Amino acid sequence: MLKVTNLCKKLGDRDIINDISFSLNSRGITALLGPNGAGKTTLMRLLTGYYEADKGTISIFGHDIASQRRAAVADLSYVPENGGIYQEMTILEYLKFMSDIKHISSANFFQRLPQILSKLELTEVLHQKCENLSKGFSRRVAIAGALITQPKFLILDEPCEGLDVRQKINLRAFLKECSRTCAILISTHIMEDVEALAERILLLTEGRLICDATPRELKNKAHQFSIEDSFFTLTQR
Amino acid sequence: MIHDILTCYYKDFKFYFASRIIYLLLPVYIMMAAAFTFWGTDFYTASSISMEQFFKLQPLLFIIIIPALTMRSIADEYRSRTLEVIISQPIARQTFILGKFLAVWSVCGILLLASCIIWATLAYLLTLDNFWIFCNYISSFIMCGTLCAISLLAATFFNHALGAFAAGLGACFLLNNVNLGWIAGLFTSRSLLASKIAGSFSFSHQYDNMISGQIGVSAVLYFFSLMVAFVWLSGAVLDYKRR
Repeated sequence: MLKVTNLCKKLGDRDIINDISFSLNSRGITALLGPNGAGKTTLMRLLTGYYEADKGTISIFGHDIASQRRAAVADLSYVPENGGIYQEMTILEYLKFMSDIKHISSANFFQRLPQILSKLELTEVLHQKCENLSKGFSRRVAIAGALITQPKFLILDEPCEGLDVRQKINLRAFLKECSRTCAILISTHIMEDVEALAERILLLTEGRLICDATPRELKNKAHQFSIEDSFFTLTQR
Repeated sequence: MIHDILTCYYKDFKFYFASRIIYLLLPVYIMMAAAFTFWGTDFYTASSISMEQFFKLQPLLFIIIIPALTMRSIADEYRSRTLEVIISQPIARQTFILGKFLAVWSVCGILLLASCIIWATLAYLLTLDNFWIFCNYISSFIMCGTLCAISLLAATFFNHALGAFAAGLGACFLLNNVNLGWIAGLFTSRSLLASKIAGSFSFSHQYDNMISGQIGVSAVLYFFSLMVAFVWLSGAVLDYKRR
């Protein structure tokens, strides 16, 4: 589904992404880990077509993002960290806008809406303006905006940031359910999320992919019992 | 393509109402337009009453108003990181910009429409050449479109609203005030014809021509070609920023 080959990206004089190659299947959850400044956000921006790669290729569902960007991102949804929603819109307006821009028919939108709203506990605030929402609600609205379009590839930057424990558990369960039909790439610093969700881990350090493994393989490689300790050990080297 | 433009257009058009910008600018614009028309000129002593001064001052008013409208257009998209979400959608950057441009141009249309209260007041009290005034409203609307396009282009360079406003103000001011004839004269000091031809390409010259008589095809082409160029360039700037 996703194939990244020899990807390189410089911002200014700094190599942010340095010769990264990996591929993802069309189902399951992959966690993108790395210390601050490792290049996670840049990698996600490259995958969404926000940035143009200096070298290398990204192919999504067989479409090259450089030459066929619109076809490549047709089934992709992205939720950036701390935002990605229009503050002046109501939740309903925002979700409708997101579905309109993906050419989802009104009938499909209203059919899918109740399920998304109930799973993300947004039904009661549907007509509220986004600017009046708490951080947790804003986060869930952004995720709802991404999921309403029924993407086949979902990229989430810190999805559980700002959520309380109950909301985190609910969101994880919902993402697990979604991962049966779509590929999800999550960037997070919360290791509980990785333990609970990830079937595969991509570990980045200084723009290089230093590990592409299952959680068990990662722990074995680092000779540790937890992902947190493994992360610490591997990024120290 | 049309669906994408309309989706982006509605989003941005609603933004001006939801963020209450229009409710602030509308009374300011009407008051300034009325003040300039009635008190800033020889309106009461002139031998015949017209709205000539009102239309002559339109570029000056919109040079301030349009950058105020466009300053948050792109900057807010950066700040709230919605630009990342929009760019990851299957729409072209030019489509996204075109939606923004049409939205801000529509708001200018609403402001001009609201200023018809001045026209209606004068028409009630006096006998006016209403067709001439109608044509000049169309001319002002077309002129606004060009200012919207250049202001939006200036805004695409900045991630902050204040920078976008200053750049938009500067760009609109330069476009309106630069006399191309005078610049051409500096390089071709002996050729009066060259200066005259270059001068005819000045924004103010084209607008003055439009409001002095009927709307000419050449002037309409001039303003629309500038609009297309600036909107296209705005998309290109966004595209360039990906690198």
